[in-house]
Amino acid sequence: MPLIKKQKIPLLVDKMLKKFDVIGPVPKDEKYVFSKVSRGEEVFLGYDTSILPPKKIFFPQEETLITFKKDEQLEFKPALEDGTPSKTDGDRKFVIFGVHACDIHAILTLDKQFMEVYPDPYYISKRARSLIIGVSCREPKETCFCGIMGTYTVEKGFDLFLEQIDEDEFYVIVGSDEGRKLLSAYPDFFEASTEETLEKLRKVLKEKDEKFADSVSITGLPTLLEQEFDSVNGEIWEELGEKCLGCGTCCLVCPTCFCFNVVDKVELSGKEGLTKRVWDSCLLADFAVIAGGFNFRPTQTSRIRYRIYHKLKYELERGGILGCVGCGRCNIACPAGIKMQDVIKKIKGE
Amino acid sequence: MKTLVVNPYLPIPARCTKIVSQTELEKLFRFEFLGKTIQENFDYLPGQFLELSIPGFGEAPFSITSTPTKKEYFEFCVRKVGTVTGALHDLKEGKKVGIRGPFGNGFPLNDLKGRDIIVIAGGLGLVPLRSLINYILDKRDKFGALKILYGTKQPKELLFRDELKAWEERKDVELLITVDAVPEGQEWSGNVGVVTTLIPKVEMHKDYTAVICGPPIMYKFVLRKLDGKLREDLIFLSLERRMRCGIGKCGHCAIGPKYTCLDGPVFSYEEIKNLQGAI
Amino acid sequence: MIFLVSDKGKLKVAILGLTCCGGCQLEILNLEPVLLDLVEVIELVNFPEAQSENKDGPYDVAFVEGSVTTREEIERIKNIRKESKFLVALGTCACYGGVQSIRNFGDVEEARKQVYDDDGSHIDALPATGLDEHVNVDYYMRGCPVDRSEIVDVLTSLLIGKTPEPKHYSVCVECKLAEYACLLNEGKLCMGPVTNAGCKARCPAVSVPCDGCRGPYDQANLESFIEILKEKKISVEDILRKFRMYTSWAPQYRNLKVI
Repeated sequence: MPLIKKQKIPLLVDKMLKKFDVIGPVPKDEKYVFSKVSRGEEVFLGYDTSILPPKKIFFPQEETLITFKKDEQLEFKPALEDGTPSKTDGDRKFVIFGVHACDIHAILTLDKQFMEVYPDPYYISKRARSLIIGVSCREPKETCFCGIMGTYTVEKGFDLFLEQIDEDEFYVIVGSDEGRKLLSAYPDFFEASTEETLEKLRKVLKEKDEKFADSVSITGLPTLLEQEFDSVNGEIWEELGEKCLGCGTCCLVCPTCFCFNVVDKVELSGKEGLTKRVWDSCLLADFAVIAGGFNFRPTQTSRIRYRIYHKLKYELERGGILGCVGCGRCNIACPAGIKMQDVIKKIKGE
Repeated sequence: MKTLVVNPYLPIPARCTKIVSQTELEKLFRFEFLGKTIQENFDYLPGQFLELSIPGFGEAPFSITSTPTKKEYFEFCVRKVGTVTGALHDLKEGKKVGIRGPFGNGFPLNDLKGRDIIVIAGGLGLVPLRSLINYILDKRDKFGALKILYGTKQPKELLFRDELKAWEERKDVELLITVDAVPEGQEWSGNVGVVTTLIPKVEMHKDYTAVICGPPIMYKFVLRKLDGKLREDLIFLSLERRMRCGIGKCGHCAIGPKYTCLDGPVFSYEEIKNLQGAI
Repeated sequence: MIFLVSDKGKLKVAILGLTCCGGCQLEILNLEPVLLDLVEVIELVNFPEAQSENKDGPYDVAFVEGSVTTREEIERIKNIRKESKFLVALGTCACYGGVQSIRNFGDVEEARKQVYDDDGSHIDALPATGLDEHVNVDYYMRGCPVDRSEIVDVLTSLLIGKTPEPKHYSVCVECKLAEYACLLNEGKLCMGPVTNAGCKARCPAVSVPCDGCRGPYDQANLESFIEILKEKKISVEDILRKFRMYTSWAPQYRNLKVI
């Protein structure tokens, strides 16, 4: 497998921009966001994390599903003629450059949610046009807990993955045919690896285990949660419920949260309008309210407990994948300072 | 790349052909899809639900109350409680709405066929159960005994009065009705008490299949009363949650790891007995 | 569902003001891009800030801005209520009493003397309150000033016969959706987590912490929020001042103690 020198990456992106849209981490207000770039230099691969995860690219915060007319006739149309949703950039493929391992794990969770059972055309149309180029993290941030979740490395879900092996070199792992095609489309930017670089890679991966792995693991967590729901130790949920502000931030910054609400919007004429979906959060008070006002999760305690169970137990039972990838965004964003890894440790009694 | 995926979010227009007032708060709505072929090919199971959209007001899930043995139309019985139901109550015959579905699993007809059945309905819970009851009556020889227990808060809230009467008159149906209370000014000569008080009044052997639907609060009382009398895998409950998308995407109807819209709305008691937050 | 207009008729609208700066009415005038479309479907029966020919009610909808601060205003708002099928409290003053309700926490007599010397007897000053201390309000359009898009949304809803639906969550939701950096986590006193959404986080959008002008949302966890602020070494005085800024007379804030 090949290598790429750090200084060649912006040039590669520039070249790619001729054929693809490129979305990458760029600085904003001393943080980072995934955003479309127009020059290779803009992509900042040394970013720690982004405010919102790359899921917004496939599953935007707000998305029109249906447009309707209700004049003489009642007519519903998908936001796109052929039954697929709007493609703002036409058929052009886009490259998401610089996705961390944890976020690639998260995209695999979302793929399961949106592409199985009733395939979601809106998600799929964007996902099918995407190429993912991952990049490794060299150090975990204090708020990261990919070590607990086992998500600091990733084996699939990317087209290329750039594993940084020293200050100015990345080892390139190919994850798909599309990725292989990228390598052959831009041969000038890559060079062959040597025995020496492979040695470096092995060393980096070994060091990584030491840096990232956590003494706490998720083994046995679902069983423990089964017991903790109402048990005496369940006071942990009461404590969290009192602390939680119910602002929904943790869900909104979460790379695996997929809940949404559906709302209609009409024109002043009342004759035309649209149905859109908007990100929602199970921590908001009326999330589980049914017609007539009955709330199945009436307290903040019941809501935060549900979220944590969903991430650590329910999602695993449903799809065989954990609903949390340890990216730490909720830890960073929670104004009440609630930290998922603290909750995990508490449940595990550590 | 053309992604040819059927769009499960796209409603299909249907025309309201008949509205019958049931009580002060509930109306029965009959609909037909505009295209004749669409209506003819439309099939569903008792216990499934549809998403009904009134453009501008939004979309809401409703149990189908008609039986799939009637191919010419489908029906909802709706209580006026919120935005979409309010708009639906103001709908006139001939007007159109959008329909998506059917969604959900429906009642387990395979588990019901050939068996003796007890149906327990509280209030609006009769709405999806009416679909099942009429289905059974239309295919009477495929099913065993049919006992129906139905309770409402007060006499004036009883739904489908004509049908109740017809069921009562049939020899192959045992129907018991009760009301929680009889407020002044309402006439009632039948049972008074919550629906659970009817359970000891019917004879059942252990192999009866129970199908239950009612307000959230009702289930635990009914289950307590049935405890030990019937097999847990033969007690079926239709649960209500906030099904926004109907297709297991939006997360609103989750009960623990289950989605009411995909795995339900009908669950066996065995399946949800230990499910956190189910009952 | 509420039917305010017949099939062909226009929605009869009044836009009126009590004690305030007039800024929310100005926001209606600032709806320039849709103003012409609006007057196609509504009839501005009474809008003294914008037009010279005005008629009294009845109205389908009255938007009333400003707080109630005098006996005369109590009578006025009661009359408006009688003449309107649907009453919208327009802006934070009409919803809660606004900035001026800070005076409810002091001695009115003293304030009168201070402002008017000894001769303030002609000033008929009551505590500054929102409209709902005197009449029923059908919709609370919060904000100082209100958000223009909410005005259009409410009118559109009413035009199709739908009761407008208020939001039941905090500014944080809109702030996160727009991917702004969290100012509270930077140690700034941002009222986002307890303040009702609807402004699209317009202050955090320009890196200014939320001042809470839309008032508390119904499930705001004030206790935990104040604890968090104190942990960030924000002084009790600063915290109280922030709560007293725009919606001090909101029922949840009125008796708030920060210790």
